[in-house]
Amino acid sequence: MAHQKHLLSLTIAGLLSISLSVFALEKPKTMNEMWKIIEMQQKQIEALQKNAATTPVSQQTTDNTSKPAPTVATNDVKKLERKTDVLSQEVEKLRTNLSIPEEAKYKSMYGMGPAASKVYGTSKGLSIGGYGEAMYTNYVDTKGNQNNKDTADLERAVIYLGYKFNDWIVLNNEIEFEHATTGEGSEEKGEVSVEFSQLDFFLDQKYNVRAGLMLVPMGFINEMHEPTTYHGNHRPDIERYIIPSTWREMGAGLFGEVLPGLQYRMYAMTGLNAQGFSNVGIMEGRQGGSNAKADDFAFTGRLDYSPTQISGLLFGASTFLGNSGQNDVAFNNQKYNVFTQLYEGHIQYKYRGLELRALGAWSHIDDTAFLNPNLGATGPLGKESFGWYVEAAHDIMPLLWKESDHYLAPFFRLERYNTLAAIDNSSLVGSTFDARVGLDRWIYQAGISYKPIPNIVIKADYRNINDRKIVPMGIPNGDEFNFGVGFIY
Amino acid sequence: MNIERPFAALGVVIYFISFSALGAEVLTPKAELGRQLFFDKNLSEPAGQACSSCHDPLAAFTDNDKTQPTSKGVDTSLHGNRNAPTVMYAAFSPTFTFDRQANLYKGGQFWDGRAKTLSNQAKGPFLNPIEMANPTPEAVIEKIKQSPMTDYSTQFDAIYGKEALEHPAKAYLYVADAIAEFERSAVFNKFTSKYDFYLLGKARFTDQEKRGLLVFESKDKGNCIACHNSRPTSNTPPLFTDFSYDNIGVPKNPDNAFYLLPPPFNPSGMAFVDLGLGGQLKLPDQNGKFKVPTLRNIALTSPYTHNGYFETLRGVVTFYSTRNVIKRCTNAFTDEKTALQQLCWSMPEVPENVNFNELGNLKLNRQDVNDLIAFLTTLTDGYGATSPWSSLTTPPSQ
Repeated sequence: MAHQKHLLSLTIAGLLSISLSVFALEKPKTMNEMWKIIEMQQKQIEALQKNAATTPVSQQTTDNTSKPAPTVATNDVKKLERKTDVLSQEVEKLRTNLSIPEEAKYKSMYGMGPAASKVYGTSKGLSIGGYGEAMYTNYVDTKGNQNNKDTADLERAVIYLGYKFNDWIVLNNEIEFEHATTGEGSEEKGEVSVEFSQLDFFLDQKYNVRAGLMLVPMGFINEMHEPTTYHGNHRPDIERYIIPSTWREMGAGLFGEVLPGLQYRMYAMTGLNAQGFSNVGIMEGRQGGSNAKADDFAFTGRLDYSPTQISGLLFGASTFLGNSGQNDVAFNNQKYNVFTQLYEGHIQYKYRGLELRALGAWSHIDDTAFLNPNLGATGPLGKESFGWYVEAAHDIMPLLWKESDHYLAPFFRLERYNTLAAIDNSSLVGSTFDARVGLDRWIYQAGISYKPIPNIVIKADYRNINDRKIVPMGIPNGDEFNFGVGFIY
Repeated sequence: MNIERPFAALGVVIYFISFSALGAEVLTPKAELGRQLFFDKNLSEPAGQACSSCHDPLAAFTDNDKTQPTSKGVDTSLHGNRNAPTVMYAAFSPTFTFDRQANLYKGGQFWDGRAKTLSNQAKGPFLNPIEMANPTPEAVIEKIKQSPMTDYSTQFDAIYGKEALEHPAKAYLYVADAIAEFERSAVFNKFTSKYDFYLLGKARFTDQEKRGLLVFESKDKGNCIACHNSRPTSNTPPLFTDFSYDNIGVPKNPDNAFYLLPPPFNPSGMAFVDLGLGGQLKLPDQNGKFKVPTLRNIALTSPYTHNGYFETLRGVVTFYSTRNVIKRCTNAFTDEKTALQQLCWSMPEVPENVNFNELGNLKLNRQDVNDLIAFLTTLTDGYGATSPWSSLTTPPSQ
């Protein structure tokens, strides 16, 4: 723990020194600057016009042979007038853009989703974006579990509010409304959360600083969870139970691109809270910056490589390492650190409408023998867990209708994971904990994603879930058909 | 229940016999003195009733006479107004206090917290006119001095100093102190239930017991965990109580013989209302609240609740689940059995301050109830001989 705190302070100190050598990006033209230019040009025009009015007289008296002069002056005036017109239009555009952007660019930047990246593309000031996803789930086979009830859910309605203070400091926020309400009593089903609220300090292409409530940079989904960026209505289970999502913690760190195509992110963050661990994994150990326990910190880092030679290929790996005891896990009056390790590797390849994705993750948790008795009905938890999935999709629209710019991609995904891949054989009691309850699954999923425009997706999919353990209460386990719509803006 | 009971009783007998063989060696001299006082029937007026009469080890230190909801006094025509609670794990109850942060009263002893500590509690029943009926502490000390069976004086002198019994006021404190010491011993704080072994990976739950634990803890099912903590803390195994006070809306118990007692004991007759903590503190906003009991050994400690209204675990679980949902019985004095037959519940004995937030409509189905009962029966001590929790089982000294 002390080591991690040391790491954090080193990181911050290093970043502050880097900030002295700020590399300012090219400044965009603001409205004020433009007005100044217009005024200058207006003066030039007036001067030229005056000039043009007086020139013929002087020419007649001084030099009869220099006839082209008036034409040059008139051309200059015209040129300047045109410039002024263009500038005036630009100013007008800028004004309008304050309320309605003319054309937003949806391009994923610095690890964030396309809509979440909008603020980085703005020139200055406020940027508004968001996404939403709604779905209908029909349990084709409830498997006798009364929890498997058909639902229609506005699962997420999300607002991105970004603010670009200047050309090197950007604030980005995601505010999420889950399940449409946070009402009292029977309406108490949803929640409003700040999914992230981070300040980015752009110093150098290679070294930039990020601080605040940040997304843990693991897997495909956690950072980039906008519905247009993945197939299927539900996120892959592995990126919910093995790598939690949406997983965010308080912290600070560095990000950048060290070589062309080689991006990294590394943060020091609040660790997980082991009291929330359960037989479905570490997911409820997330602290989310809500009065987070900060006795234990963690390190998280990610490396992604997109070789410039092979367009569409991306591969990378990430990790999260830290104690999760938070000074709260005790047994027989002795405290335990619950050192938690999570590793993940991923690869994605996109080629002419073909999309391939694969991801694998593995975790190891120390001291579970002493943590398990604290978990009651939600335990015991796995000392190790693992999961992987492979996914293939192909945009078949060009085959069906060549001229169309719509997107229509059938996909197939195979998932395998086990939250109790290994369970403690406690030296304390000399027998293993009961590993019958947990998520030990194969999931076969097939479906289709249709995008009339890149910002909107309509999804339909079928998930066949094969459980090999008793499913913990509250986790749906029926075979389901999902139909939904998602959008980003 | 009726089939299970002889087996459960047999298990307890065997366990108690094995304890008797070993226990005397395990106890400290003070706890051993407390043990002798606890079981001594010569210390009542007249002789015939001991602490153990109503706190019988055969019933996890509750009254083993299950024919009545409340206990008989030394004068067997008299009955107390409340169901004798278990002494087991009582030593873990903190000193009675008002928890400002939680805005709740917590801890203490008796159903209404009127004794702040364990030793204060031990002073009560000797002098209670319905229970051991001694007129004064001096009378108790005199009986101890004159005991025909036990040489108490030597033990008191050895533990509390010479002539320890010569100052009755002080000696009475020693009596309570010794009994409290006994109650802090492993005899009352076994932590040997199947659940203890299960938590530590030493026992396997059946699927039904596992489901029952889920119902117990699940927020949208039983949520029993809200008051009956089923998780260990850093220095205690789960105690299945948070030592707070609550009015769960228990109806009047028509079988409570206290209603029929004459005026010196019960001036209100059938109109008697037990105000619990509120009566004790003279605070109307605490009326009807009683201490949350531990659920350890719950299968052995029937009847349940302060007035012993519920004879069965199924009855009390069903009440928690359906109190707000099914109709009100027309007769305020309807017993549990009739209420279950008529699918109704009588109005609460104290209608104010009833907890509607955490119970009354748990929506438990038949399987949930069965599962929950299966889990609750895993809380009976004696699954293993020694506790798997090692050093955590010693209660704090007060």
